[in-house]
Amino acid sequence: MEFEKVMIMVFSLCMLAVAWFTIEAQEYIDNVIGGSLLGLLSVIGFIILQAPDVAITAAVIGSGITTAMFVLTMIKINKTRARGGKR
Amino acid sequence: MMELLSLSLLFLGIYGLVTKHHILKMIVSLNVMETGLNLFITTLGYQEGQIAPILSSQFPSSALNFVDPLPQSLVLTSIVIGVGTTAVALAYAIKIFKDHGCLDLEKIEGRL
Amino acid sequence: MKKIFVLGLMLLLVIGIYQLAVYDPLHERTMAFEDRDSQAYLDRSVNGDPGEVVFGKSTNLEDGAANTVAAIVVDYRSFDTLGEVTVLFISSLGVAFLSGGFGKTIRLKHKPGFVLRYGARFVFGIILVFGAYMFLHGHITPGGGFPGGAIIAASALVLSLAGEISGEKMKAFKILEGAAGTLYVLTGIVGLYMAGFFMQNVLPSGIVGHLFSAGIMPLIYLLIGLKVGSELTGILDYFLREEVES
Repeated sequence: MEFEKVMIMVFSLCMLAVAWFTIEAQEYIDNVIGGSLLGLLSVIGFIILQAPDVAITAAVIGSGITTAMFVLTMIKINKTRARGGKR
Repeated sequence: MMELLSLSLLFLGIYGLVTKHHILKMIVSLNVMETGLNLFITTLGYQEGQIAPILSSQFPSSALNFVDPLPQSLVLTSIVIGVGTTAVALAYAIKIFKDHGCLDLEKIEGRL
Repeated sequence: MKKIFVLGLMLLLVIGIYQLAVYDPLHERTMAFEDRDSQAYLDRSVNGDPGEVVFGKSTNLEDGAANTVAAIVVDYRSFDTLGEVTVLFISSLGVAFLSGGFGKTIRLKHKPGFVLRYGARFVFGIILVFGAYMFLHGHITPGGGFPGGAIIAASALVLSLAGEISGEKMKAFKILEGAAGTLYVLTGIVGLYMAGFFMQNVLPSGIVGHLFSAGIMPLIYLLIGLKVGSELTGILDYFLREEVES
């Protein structure tokens, strides 16, 4: 029991560190990858809370689809910037 | 422990929303906030020693000590809606970039 | 300076809300085993007490799904799920209007490499079968229509990145999405006609834990999976396009 509590504490600190990195990173791609990692870590949180349905959904959506949308947005903005914008 | 973690994530997201100027970073902060909120709602239905609310050959009876299933189903809904809001926010960001050529809100404010 | 101030404020809020919401000093927390409302969902005793529900033995329950979360999402609170699918549809519509509207669009140009092109064809089928498994077994095992649909959207994204899905094939996804949504509402109207309540489970609910059980739940999860999958594919497709300079 004690071991589990210590592991949950380590996991929490890990997740808070990743969240801080996600918010405070300078480069945009670091923000996105941090967000993906946070989604993946939240899966472990849902497993600890005995919610397998939510864990599967968070794994697929939080670290898959959302990251793909962010990266595609970045590619699109970079292409628009290379063309010199529309205005 | 998990309650503190999820509340901290929620307010870290608000902190990011308040202090950042870059629109995409604000959307990332919104996602962090959403993760924290989902974890918090799931936490409300959990007590130590309870098992996942799925009948199986290992846990066959409804008389066992199951987790509260209602917060989980609400979170299941909220995660999928979160994708929709993120998609709309990102589409807005692309449109703002096309109109102003910039994603920094403080710089855009000078041009309006 | 501003950052430290905001961070301190947030720390105070965390402590305050933790005190208020988790260790409620005014009311005793009543999340005990017997007092909670959703115990009726776990016992399947909303309309009457069937006694103890046993996996693989109990028959003719009001809801025959082994997965209680799926039972709440698709059976007890199915109307909420219909609203959620509508919200997702509206967000897909919003993305469509914001990114280009009715103007002419083309795909982002990029050259997929050899590994991506041929690897995508192998991986695509496996991911697709896994997604289909996810929503067909949603009422027995963890999973269900929403993650299943998202997995299907991920497989379509892999094919799109490899350059295999053209703009014409996206029209098929749009038709699939509309058909799935319409069939979902029609299933609800069938329940209204036969049993007097919208989204009533009219089919027999079989033995708990078998694949063909739980009445209309597998059918609705199939429809939700197809709808969410095609909708997310559509949203991702808008992010893969760019406007043609006119």
